[in-house]
Amino acid sequence: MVIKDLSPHNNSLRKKYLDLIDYGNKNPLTVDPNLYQLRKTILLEGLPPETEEEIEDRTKQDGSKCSLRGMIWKILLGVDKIQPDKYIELIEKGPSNRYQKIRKDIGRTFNRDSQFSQAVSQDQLSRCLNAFAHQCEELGYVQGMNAICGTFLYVLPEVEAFQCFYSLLTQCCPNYFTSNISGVNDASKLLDRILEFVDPELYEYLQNRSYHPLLFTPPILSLGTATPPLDELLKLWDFFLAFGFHLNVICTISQILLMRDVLLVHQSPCLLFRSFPELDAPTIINLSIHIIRQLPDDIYDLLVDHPMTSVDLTPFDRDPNNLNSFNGSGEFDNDNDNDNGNQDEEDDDDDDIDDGHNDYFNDNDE
Amino acid sequence: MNNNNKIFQFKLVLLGEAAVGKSSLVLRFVRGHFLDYQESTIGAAFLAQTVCLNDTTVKFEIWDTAGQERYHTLAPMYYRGAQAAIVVYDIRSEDSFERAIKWVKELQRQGSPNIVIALAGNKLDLAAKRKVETAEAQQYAEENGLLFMETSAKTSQNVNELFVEIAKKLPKTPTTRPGSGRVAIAPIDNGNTGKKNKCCN
Ligand SMILES: Nc1nc2c(ncn2[C@@H]2O[C@H](COP(=O)(O)OP(=O)(O)O)[C@@H](O)[C@H]2O)c(=O)[nH]1
Ligand SMILES: [Mg+2]
Repeated sequence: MVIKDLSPHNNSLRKKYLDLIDYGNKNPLTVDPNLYQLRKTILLEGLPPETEEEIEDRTKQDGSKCSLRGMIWKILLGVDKIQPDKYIELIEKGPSNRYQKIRKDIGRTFNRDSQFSQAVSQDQLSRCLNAFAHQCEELGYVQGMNAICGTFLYVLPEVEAFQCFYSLLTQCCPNYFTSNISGVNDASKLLDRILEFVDPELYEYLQNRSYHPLLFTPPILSLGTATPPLDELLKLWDFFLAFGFHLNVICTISQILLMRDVLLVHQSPCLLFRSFPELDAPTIINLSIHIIRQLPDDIYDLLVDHPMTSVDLTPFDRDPNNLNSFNGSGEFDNDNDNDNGNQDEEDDDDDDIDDGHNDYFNDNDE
Repeated sequence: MNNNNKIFQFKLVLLGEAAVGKSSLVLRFVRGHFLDYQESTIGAAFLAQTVCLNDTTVKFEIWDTAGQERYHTLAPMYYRGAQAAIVVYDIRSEDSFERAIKWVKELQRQGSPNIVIALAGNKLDLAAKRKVETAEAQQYAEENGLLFMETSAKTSQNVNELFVEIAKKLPKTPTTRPGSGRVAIAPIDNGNTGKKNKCCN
């Protein structure tokens, strides 16, 4: 394939990122413009494909996992000091009160992805989640955190993955994890309104066929991790980490729109939302940017805020009872809680959670 | 730079069959380079580039629509609000020319009312393997009020010219652009995002 031949361009792109990072390290006073450059490059060019060394390194149990993506994610999450002592302290506390629950989900985290199981051990995953449950008792553990944590462990060394995971959950999208997961309810309402706005025809078709906004809580709660493949997910996360996890709502809409043709001829289209087609990150991102462009400012502003602060969506409430059926336990697990090992074709490696964001799109109008 | 120039900004979309060279044309125009093995999409949804005419500056916001070949029903979403479109075909492929004609028809039917459409026969450097005659395309373009050029993203032949012609033809009246602003690209050196980003520093 052409992958090898792409290397001159990829190398120069890689170098561009390394230069940006280097410049950022040397010029801490201009952190905002530095970050701006980094985000802009992510938007315009994406990250270069991983090098062979990076891929190989990841599969080794004692690999360094020192990848470009890992470096960039840490920067975007504000993780600069690595604190192994603190992590070890948390581990030494032993099993948390969530430990049994965590163990149940470990084995099914990205279990269809052989690259994942090569790169991330079950022990790492349970240590990391258990440490988080100790450190942040309010949030503890809910289903879906496993895949989010797993995604970080796939990209970063354990301690750094832990810190990124912590930063994401507590700073970027805390409202997705509170006990009533209010952020997820808000996301569902926003998704509903935006879908109607961007594609009234499809929306109406669905409305007449068992549509309910809560159909989309799995992709929202999971921050996209519920849909394979993992390497495409990483590209979506590059985008989310750069510009905010509120974009997961928009990207979910893009995924719905990409199914449009099939949905519009299907008798029971909502059945198809049980699992989305495999992620195609560049197309999803591209379409999402088109959608963002069209959104009225008021909706967009609410969207940007919703993972972090409570937003007032009453002006958008058509049917106030609409979302009340949601179980407020902080867990969204309709289909996979009592997993008996027999998976149907959509998987639920996980289902839930959150997201955070950076309100970036808003400001820079050339 | 001529500071007292008027600046007009336009949304331009590229349409055409997969692999005819849409992304390559954009990259050639915006970045001045060409890659022999262009990845299937450029990472970005859009890029910006300006063209200076005599007394005006035209800024193109260029949308390279990843996936539009495969997800055809989404195309209207992509070309909505575009004031200009480049419909690209590969001069070595009749099929791609047929497809281009379909795009033109669709744009004329459903695009913005005064959309400027340019037809580009790309890969002119491979003219030895030409399947679509210049005269044929030229005639089609004239009959349908399109700009027409044969281009090569590889050698850069006619690439800037194409954009300049489009820039000239675009109406220079102040317009309010729909969905202004968000996600726009700022110039490199003016990077302050204004809003504090809670997530990232
Ligand atoms: N020889 C030649 N190859 C080209 C030209 N433009 C694009 N290509 C090649 O055609 C392939 C597809 O180009 P790309 O820009 O990805 O097409 P897109 O799918 O329409 O965006 C790539 O391998 C390019 O290197 C050209 O003008 N001349
Ligand atoms: Mg392309």
